[in-house]
Amino acid sequence: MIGVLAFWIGALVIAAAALPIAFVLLRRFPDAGAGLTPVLGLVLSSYTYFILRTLHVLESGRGGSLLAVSLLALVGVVVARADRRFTATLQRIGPQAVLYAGIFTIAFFSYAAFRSYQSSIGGTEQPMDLMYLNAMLVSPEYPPHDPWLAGEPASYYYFGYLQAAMLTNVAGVPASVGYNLGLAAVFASSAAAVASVAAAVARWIFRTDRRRLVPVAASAAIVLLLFASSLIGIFEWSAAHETTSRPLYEAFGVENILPCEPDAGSEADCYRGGAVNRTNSWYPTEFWFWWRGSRVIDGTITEFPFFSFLLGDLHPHLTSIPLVLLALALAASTFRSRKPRSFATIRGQPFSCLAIAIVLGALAFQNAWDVITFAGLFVVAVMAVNLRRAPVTKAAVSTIGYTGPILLTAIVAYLPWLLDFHTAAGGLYPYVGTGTPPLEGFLQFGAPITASLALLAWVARRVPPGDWLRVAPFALWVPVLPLLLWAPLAAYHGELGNGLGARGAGGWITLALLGAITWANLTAAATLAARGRAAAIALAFAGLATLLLYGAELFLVRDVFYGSVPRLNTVFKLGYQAWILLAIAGGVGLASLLARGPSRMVGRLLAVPMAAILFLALIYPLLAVPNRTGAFSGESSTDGFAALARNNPAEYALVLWLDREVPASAIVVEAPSDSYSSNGGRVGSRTGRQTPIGWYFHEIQWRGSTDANHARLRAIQEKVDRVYNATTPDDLLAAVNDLDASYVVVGSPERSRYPSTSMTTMDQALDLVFEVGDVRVYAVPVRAVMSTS
Amino acid sequence: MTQSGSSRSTAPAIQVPLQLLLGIVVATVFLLMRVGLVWQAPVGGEELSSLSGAWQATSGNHDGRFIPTLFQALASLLLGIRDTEVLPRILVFAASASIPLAFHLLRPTFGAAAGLIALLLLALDGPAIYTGVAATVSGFDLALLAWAFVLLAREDLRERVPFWAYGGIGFAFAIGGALVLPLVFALAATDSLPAWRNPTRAQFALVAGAAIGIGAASLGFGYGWDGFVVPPIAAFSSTFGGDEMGLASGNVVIIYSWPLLIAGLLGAALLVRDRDSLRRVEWTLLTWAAAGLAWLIAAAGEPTVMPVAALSLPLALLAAPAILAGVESARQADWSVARVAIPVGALLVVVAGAYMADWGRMDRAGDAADVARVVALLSAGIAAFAVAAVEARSRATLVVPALAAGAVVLLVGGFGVGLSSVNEPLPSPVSPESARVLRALALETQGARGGEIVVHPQFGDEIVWPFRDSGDIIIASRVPAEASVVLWPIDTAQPDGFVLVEGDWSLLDWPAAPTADWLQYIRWYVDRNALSASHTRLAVYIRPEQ
Repeated sequence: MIGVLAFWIGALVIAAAALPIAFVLLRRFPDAGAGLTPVLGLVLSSYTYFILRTLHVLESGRGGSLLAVSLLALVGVVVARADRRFTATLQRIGPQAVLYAGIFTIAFFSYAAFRSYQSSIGGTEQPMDLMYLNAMLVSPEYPPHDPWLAGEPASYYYFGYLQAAMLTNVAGVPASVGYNLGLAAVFASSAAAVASVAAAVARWIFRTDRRRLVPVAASAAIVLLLFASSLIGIFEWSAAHETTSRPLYEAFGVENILPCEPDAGSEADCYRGGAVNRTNSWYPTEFWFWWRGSRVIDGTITEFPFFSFLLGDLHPHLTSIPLVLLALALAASTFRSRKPRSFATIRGQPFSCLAIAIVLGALAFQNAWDVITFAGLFVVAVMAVNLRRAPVTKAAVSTIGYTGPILLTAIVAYLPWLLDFHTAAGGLYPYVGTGTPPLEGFLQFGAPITASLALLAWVARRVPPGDWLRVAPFALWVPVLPLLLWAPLAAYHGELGNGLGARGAGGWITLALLGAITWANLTAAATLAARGRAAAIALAFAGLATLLLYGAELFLVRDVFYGSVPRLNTVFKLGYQAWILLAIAGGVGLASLLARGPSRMVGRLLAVPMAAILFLALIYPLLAVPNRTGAFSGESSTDGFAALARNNPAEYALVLWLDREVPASAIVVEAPSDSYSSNGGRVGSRTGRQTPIGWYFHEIQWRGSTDANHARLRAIQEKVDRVYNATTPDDLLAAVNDLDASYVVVGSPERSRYPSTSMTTMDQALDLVFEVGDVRVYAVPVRAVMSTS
Repeated sequence: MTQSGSSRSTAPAIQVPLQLLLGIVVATVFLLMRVGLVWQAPVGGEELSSLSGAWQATSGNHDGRFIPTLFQALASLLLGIRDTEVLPRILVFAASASIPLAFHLLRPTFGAAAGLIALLLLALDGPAIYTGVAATVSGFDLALLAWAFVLLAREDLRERVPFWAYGGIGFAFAIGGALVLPLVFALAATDSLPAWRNPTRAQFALVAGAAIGIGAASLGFGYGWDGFVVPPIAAFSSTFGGDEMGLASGNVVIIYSWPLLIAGLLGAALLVRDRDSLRRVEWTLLTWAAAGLAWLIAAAGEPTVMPVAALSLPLALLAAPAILAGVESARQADWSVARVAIPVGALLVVVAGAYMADWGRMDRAGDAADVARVVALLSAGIAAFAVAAVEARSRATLVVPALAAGAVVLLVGGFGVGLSSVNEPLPSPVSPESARVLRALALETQGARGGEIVVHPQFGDEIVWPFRDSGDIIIASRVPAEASVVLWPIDTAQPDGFVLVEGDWSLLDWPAAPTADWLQYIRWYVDRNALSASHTRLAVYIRPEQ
């Protein structure tokens, strides 16, 4: 309880410290950025910590984190003193700041309460997330070490873990608690941030109706971002209650929910659990039925924010949601700026530009997929604002003069990370497989896309057709160009024929629909942008979102999954970005349905189907939450190790002992393991101590699937094998020394992988320093001469 | 009447201003509360850690406990001359002894009476007493803070300081301990530096001095390069997650400093109430206290006294005017009812306290009738105070019992620390005399039988201070053949070929904080030596003579 309160207070203190900086960066926002301060403060303080740790100015542990927050507070105070409008701004937005703090608070405690019923950190990739969180917390050097590959720095985009570690340190809670509360903080920051952005855009758009519509837009954006889901929920519910229509399920591509036909082979993708296991309540009680919601489109991951929060992986795509919203806010604020941006702007406001560079650079550091999309959007926003006051060439020069140095600064600012980062991306490839059938696409993105279309409908009545027609031919190039690029690229790879045929009629229809919506959105956005109208922002967000989905139908970023499920990550990551964008546009769009004016009738007509779709999109969370939490029964705890302590006290004791007794720089030998194993790599994961090799496949993912890397990692595995298979004390000591290790753990994973491990040899060669149950830790014997004179 | 016309010749009167007299008295109290500790206090808490680190540096060993503040470096130097804690403590005491003078110079800013009260509060504050004498890495900090604040508050003095002298100030802060950080934060947050003379040159000198200080510290003041280090930051970081102290800073406040904290917060509230007329120095003081308070809140559960010590100076300076104002209000208040109600209320509370003291001695609450009596007495006492507070004109009379209660806590805590009472929770843990006896025994055995003294790694850090100047010691997890004396965990098997000399020898004593429950807290007031202590234990084995 105290830990939860400390975490919450810490997050709010960091947010408050960033308030003066938000006032300067987001002055154009009606709330002056108050709703974005939780993420802005966390990003700036975490960056400060990262860079000062790297420069050896700050020390590890809580002290370093608290000093980083103090520095942020100091900068905040200095900015406030220098800002002549600070007091007036504070008085103006005071009530809104309290409101956003309230949204943050309610969201934080709600999620923490939800998570406390399934707080265990295990399964899926949660051990990996915990490993990185612990690495951020305990690593004696920065950039932080990789606990699953001793001696190597982490090679991943780990800024989200650093932010969770920051809050964990400030609150003074253990990592196992910080993990769960970190999720709650992301949820709460996302709620406050999306409300802030949607409210700002709505306020700019609905000048006369703002008192009624701004809260509607903000609330709708929160719902669309954090609760709206794939429409699969209704199919799950009816299947669980055995009221199904096979043709309908087949039409939507969700026949895998249905029970297997009697003649179905063992490879068939269908439900085999039997009716009795599906439900004994009003919601499906089948174990993890909701998992299927993340696999709606074949060969891809179709996660959406609600699913991610439900699952509880502290993954980059999840932790980056608030940061993406902050980047969108910067773009929107820039677009609304009255002054053009150029190099002179940087000279006039160097510290603001530095802060922008830190935020934009953080996009790569937190979730590398985001940087091109959202930094690109920022550049477009700068170009748009410059175009309003200068011809194209001059605007372009000014835009480059402004964004160039900022982006360069962003690269330099994150150089310590970039130098250690190995991207898994292997280039842009044409997608030549089966396209997404339209109904599957609708199932996944139907709710947010439909909501965003409402805004288009609202705008359509307000722009003269002539204006549309002038811009439309230019906007058409946006969806056409990728198609034109795809064809030669596919031909270059010798896949054009295959690509044209394999996509299928459904795939082409989806492509055409997405292209058309993109075209319409961007036409409207460009038309309104030329007039400086704020609706252009929401339409641009919607257009960019559908463009991302459209792009994911044509291209893929090659990665380690290329051979099996080639567009797995591309659809997943770009779809996720699209969802965030659509949540804002959709929130504003839903509010527009209630607007007065020429489109009122259209709004009323659209409201019914929109409401129906939104209702369908909320069925999934309604069913999944009680399933995930066991209907909020059982013990609740925010400690991710509570279940471990209960079910495996020896392993829990091991974690506590290692945390307490083993230096953070020590190398601890444990059994190598397969990826996704809850117990595999548990020393590195649960304590952040370096181990020779953890999840092999993930290390390959992070460092590249090259022959050299495979050979290197296998060699390390063999060295670990030598430790556990040693038959003489000398061999054992030599093997341990070869790994530069100080400790060897022998527990269930080791006994299972190395059944022939000789405890006698261990006892002879090493010191037994820990033994609880069947878990032992051996230490390399110590002998040192200490001079006391 | 003319002098010549006087029939009596009067001797010239020696007039000693009361202010001066009181100043001398308070300064004497300040010094007396500390001087005894120089020789008398056991080495313990963060001092033990600091001295161990300093000794390791002297011996050429790497040890994370050596944080290269200026004091730590000088402590290493002094330990090289003589292996006693007294010399470093004298250094700290000498620096602290200048604080009364610094407060004397603050009179024009805060007034003579407030200055005296502030000094008195500081004189009696347990954590301030400890850090004002103990040879911790932050040994010079309190004095440095006091003098820096004088410079900040006294513009006339500041004018006389040449700009290059700020280089020295920057240097001193850069190689100070953790306690300087809240003031640095306050100086930066309140933009105090531009108000100084020659701001640009002074700032340049400050930065240059700080850079030189950091450079010197990174070179370990000649003890060797140990990476880039900013000593105050390193010292601050070491107050988190450490295990040098047996007492969390939150408990230190509960035991020693809560009256000062409350009075300081009240003083801060009074200042904030008049925020429109505040001077820059008062803003700085407020920000300084706020930064210190933030540190204390964040570190409430951390085993360290430093956050509390960091607050003692600003809190004393904030509390003094508030106390003065409170006393003045009480003096002018209507005492017609209070002159009866307050003594009666105090009497009832004291009687209830006597019952509770008895419970504390027995370590259990009394029976239902006793509890009812105490509740009734306390209720009646509170009611009596409430009677005095009913009328707005007489409300200020409550300042008197409040001051009395606070004074009791401060005096008890201050004397407990200042007189190094046995089992005083501050400092904790302490290196007992038995640890030195153990060293003598080990050296004697080694001298008689040859061989090596072998210590288990578990005690590698703890033996540094008591075993200083004992030649080479082997730290080993397995008993080597050449061992003649073995210091081993008590829960492990007896090493083969050795005989047990003592199976349960204390290397460190850990007096417990009396904060587990309120009865224990009361008991501690009743019997200062009643606290139990845990021990870091080891077994001593020697190789029998052949």
